[in-house]
Amino acid sequence: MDRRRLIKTGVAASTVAAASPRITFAQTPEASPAAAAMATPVGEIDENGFYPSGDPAVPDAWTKMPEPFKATEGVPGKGGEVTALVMTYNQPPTPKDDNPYWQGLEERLGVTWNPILVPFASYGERAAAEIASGELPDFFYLNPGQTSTPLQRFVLEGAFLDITDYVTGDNLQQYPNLASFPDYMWETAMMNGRIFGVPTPDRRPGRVPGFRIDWSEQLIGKRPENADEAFEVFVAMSKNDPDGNDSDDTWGISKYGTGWDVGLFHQIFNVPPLWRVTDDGKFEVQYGLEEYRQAVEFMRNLYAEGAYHPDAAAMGFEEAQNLFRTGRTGLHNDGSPIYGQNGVLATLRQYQPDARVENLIPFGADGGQGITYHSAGTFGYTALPYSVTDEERIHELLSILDWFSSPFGSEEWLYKNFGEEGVHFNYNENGFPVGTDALDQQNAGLTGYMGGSIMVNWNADEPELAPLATDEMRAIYELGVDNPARNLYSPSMIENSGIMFQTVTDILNEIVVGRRDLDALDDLYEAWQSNGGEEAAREYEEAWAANQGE
Amino acid sequence: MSTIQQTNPNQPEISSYIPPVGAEKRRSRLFRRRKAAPWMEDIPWWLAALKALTLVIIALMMLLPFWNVVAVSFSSAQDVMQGGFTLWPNNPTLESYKALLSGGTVIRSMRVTMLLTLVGTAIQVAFTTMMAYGLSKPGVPGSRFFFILVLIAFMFQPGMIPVYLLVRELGMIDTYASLVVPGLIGAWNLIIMRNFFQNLPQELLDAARIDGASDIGVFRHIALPLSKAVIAVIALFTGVGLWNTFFNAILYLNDSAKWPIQVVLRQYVLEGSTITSAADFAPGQPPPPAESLQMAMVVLATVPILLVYPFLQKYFAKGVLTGAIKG
Repeated sequence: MDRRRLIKTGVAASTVAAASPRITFAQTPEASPAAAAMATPVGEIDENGFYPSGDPAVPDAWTKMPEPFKATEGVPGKGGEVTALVMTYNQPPTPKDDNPYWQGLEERLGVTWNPILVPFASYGERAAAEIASGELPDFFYLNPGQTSTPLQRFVLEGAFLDITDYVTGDNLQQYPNLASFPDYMWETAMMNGRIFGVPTPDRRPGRVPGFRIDWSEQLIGKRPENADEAFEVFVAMSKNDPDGNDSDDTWGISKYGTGWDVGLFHQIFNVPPLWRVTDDGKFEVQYGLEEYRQAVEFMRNLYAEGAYHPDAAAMGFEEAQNLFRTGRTGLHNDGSPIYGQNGVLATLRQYQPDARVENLIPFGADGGQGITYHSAGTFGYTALPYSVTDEERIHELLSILDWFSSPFGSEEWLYKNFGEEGVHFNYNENGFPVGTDALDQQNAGLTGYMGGSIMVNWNADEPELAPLATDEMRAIYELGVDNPARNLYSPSMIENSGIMFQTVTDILNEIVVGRRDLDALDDLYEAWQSNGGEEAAREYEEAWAANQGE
Repeated sequence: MSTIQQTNPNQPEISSYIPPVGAEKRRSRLFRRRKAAPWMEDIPWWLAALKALTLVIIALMMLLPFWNVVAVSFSSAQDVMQGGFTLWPNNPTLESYKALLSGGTVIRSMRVTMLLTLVGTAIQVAFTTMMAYGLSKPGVPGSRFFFILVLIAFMFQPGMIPVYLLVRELGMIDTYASLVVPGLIGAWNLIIMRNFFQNLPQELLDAARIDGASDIGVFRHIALPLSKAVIAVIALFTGVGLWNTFFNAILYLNDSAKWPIQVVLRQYVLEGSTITSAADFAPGQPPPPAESLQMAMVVLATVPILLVYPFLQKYFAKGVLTGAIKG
């Protein structure tokens, strides 16, 4: 709930120079009334509570709720039925007959909205079965990063409509909200230079871990600024009882899943995000690099000194999150922003009222600047089936996606995310909408990740924190580097990534916990290469060269 | 073996060589079977104790995790967050159950699953039993052919997508029939039952025939009553399978109001657990539900079907054995 409230979403972005290799995206600074506020200088909050970031990749902030405005014209639908394959993280919504939110949504969309909600963990299988049947729903959500079944293949095989001509140039003007999407978003929905879907906006600045600054100040007198200080502080968090309860119940780092680096240690040592491309177009995977060896050695030493929680090797996200939120670990990479209401800080203060948390922006191992990894900027995209050929139907479907993508503060945004005032939400004392239980039950992932508003920062409980979040995201973004392979296609990577990453993870775990020595990194690199990594690098190099050639 | 001699009343008194019977002997009685079957070897008390201890430890290993689930489900979210292995809730509360049962989703999916299990089991058991009976009788035309068909289906499973396409072509997408009809004849169950029917004494069936019973009459009045054990076991297998319906529901159902309880359960329990790196966060993804809520959900989804086991226990070993061992 908290995460949803804070993260959702957007205001029209500013103009971006169209820089895509093949396609020119039309950008419309007048896309929404909020764009008028663009006159506000960066770094200042205007009388409407608008705090511009000055960069389309960095979310703006609002300290007040803007007056609701219409972001689309008329009703997008023409009265028919629209089916959608929707990936859901939620419990199922109340059935339509008893669900005023659903009924109201249909009224506003002008269609009968029939989503096929598929739990995220099995989305790939259901999607593959749907494609095999040849009868695709009108909206088909694709998210290569979230499904184990490789779905990009089907895009190449022609299961989906090439919508490039409809969402570029003058045609894009019919969809003002989609027109406000920056290039980097559209690029994630491209395959071989053509656009196959409408992207779902997400944050572009990467995620950095939250950090107990109060413990750090108490233990080493400051925030760590190089690798040695970081080492000292995380070991001290485990050994020197920072919570002062005379009990050995604190640890430096709570780690979950595969990420021993917690979004920090790779970045300190300047390890690239999986791939790095050299000046002559060679793709190098991080596992073979000296920087990676240094980072792993650092993490191995941290583990040996007890800085990681002893269960770290097998810990899941929830456990790691609980450790941090109950004040027992000092570093944790949490999906929920530090500044969110009911977020990390709010929970932590129930256990340790004086706790202070900051996001730890990576510094360089030698005390210089670190790097951050950019997020993709989108969370999948929505494709239309190849079989839709009727121009009017295509226009209707894109108009619905445009409606879903209405910016923060618009009437459409308000209804999509919060429903009807008094039923699904109420305004709080700061003038921001706060959802009720009815909202949770009725709008439970009903529209999934179809389209979406560009992200903005806002905080219903403590509005003044939103500009801080924007400033921080700007700082994160400025240090950011991209994975050069992010929008490139490698069949080997798609087919073999499961075994490739599993082998790497297994060997890495053994190295970090000290069961194998550091030289096992050679085996790790070897395993990656032979399991398909070498081929993937070659495929990326070809794709990269093809892009550069244009 | 000395203890056997000691307790045998026909054994001559040899107390001058053996120390008086004391605590050790009483203990040995405690641990020994009251009446060992003739083919069973009697064992010394310490071995019996060791056996008992091992069994208790194994039983605890099975029971403790489940008990932990139950204890967590009655704990408050805050207590669980503190971590550790909960064996007894610090502040017992029904909050999690209230939250789950008030939303409507859990009750609805529970109702779906119960109906699916009851109706589906009845239909599947009926079809499997009738076919098994038919195939068990010699002289039924084509019985060999059909039995081989069943064996082929048993040994070569079709993949997910061919079955999906078949279900779709049959117009069963988004119907409960899609969860029952593809498994109408359980090949494994059918083989067990066919073997069982083949072992019924032919004389009994012939006697019924002579008394004027038709084929159906013989089946209903003679074969079925004699097969209660095997039917109970097959019904249990089938029922548990239907209760656990999960993947087929995701594959064949469109309307989320039809989701059975296991799909809902998995949403609760997996939420958040699949996040393996900072790149995995979905925007607007709800945070993981409290662990106590997840465990209450596990209890709700597990306990009803567990309750069936004690009632069918007596048929269990008997039913499987009689079907499986021929002759």
